[in-house]
Amino acid sequence: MKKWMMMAALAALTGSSVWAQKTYTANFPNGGEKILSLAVNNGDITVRTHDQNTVIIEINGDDWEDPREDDRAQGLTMISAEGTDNTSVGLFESKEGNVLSFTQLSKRNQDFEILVPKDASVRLKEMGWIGSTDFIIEGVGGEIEVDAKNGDVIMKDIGGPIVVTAMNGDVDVIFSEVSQKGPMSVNATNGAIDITFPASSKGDLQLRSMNGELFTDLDINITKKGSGWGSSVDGTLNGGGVSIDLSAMNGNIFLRKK
Amino acid sequence: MMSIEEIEDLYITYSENELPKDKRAEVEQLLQSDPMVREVFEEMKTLDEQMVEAPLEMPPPTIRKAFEEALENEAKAATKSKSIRLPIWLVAAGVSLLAGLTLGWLLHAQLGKGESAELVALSQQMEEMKQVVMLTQIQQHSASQRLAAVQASYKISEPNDEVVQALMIALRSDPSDNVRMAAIQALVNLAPQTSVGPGMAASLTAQQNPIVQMMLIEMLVQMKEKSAVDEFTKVANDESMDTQIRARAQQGIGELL
Repeated sequence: MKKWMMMAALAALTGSSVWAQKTYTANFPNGGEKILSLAVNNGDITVRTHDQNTVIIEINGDDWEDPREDDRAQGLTMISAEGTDNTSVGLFESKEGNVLSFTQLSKRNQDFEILVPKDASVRLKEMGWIGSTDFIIEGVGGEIEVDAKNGDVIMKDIGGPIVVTAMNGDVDVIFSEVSQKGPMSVNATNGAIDITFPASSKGDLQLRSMNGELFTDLDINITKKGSGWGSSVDGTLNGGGVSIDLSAMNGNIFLRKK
Repeated sequence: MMSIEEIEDLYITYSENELPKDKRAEVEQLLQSDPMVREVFEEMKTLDEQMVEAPLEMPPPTIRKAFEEALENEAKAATKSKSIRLPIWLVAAGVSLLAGLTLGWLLHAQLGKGESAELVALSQQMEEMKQVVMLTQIQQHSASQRLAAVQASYKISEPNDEVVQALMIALRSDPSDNVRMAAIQALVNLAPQTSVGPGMAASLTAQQNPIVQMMLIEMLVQMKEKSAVDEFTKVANDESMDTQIRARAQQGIGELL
């Protein structure tokens, strides 16, 4: 109550909007792997973990930017080619197999703060070029897939496997361990790739930077060099392991030891 | 010198514990001395594990019933002819995993009972099953699993049209650009044995991400794929495309002619 009063007071003082916040709680389909998929038009996505089996999505946006706050929309349901607002928070929810999917229907700027179970996998996507979605992912224990257009991708305290495509943004990843469960791949078209590995990590690295350079303080045992793709190096970390392909077109690749 | 098929047969009887003790020792001796036997055994073991690990996703009952009937007919046909082909529609219907699993199960069950020597012929289709399993992985799984499937094709000794087709599908339409780039690499590896160049060149206009376009152009130039000149010309003249890519395509035309 106090919070609301303070927010109202703040709004009255500054003459600006009330910060609208909505929360939605969902469950994964029964049994099996827990995979959360979220595709957005506009707004940042932050994913962290909690000790429950549910998914909690908190959506923040300025009220004039939230079409649901429009008086004329009262009592009506938002629809789009992607689906219908079946969550009352502007998201289309669907379940298929082990995947719990959400699609942002609005094109307005909304930020998504998400909590998932520690062992969940996430598949996150910026659908178009309307906004600039930054992806912040912390502590997620399962597989992580990110398809980014304009925004940056920042991951911390994860093990992967990760599969990341970033068109204009940078990719910054700090591994707490390198999962040997499956191959990993990161590509950045215009941004940099900056990855920190624990010193004992095992992997088969394939590093390619078309127009950029490669920098590292890791002990990479280089097995192959150059193949007509700018700076190109194949090598192993600590005797080799899971396949890790990193490709940049215009940016540099930085590999750091933790 | 044993043929690959013979070694594959041997693996199945060996892994099913069907061999008498002295024979078993002989196989173990062979494993020590013959790297080829060792390699085939390892491949078969990986496949075995993949089949066990594969999720038991059941296709709709109608497709399953049709499949079971098809399998029954195939099994009947096996008594007449040694050559068994998986029905193409099965692969197309995307229930290929079930085909692989059922075939594997049938094979093992039959060998276990020591019956129906004709069904042993199925073991010669293990290579096909490996490819079928791969196809399914491309269609159904996470990006990392799809990458693993594409990378598994590096190991296939005799790629058939279905593998090439699967890789082409991955290159043209996989939702992940990372998988598409892995598919380019896999196709480059197959280039000496099969004609993949024209298909790779044709996929250039299906790509949205400049990094994928760039890798395709680089590889087609390296492969000296002359049929790519037409596609390169389209790219070089397309003002909606990335200027860097257009310049690289223009340069590529000169390198190929």
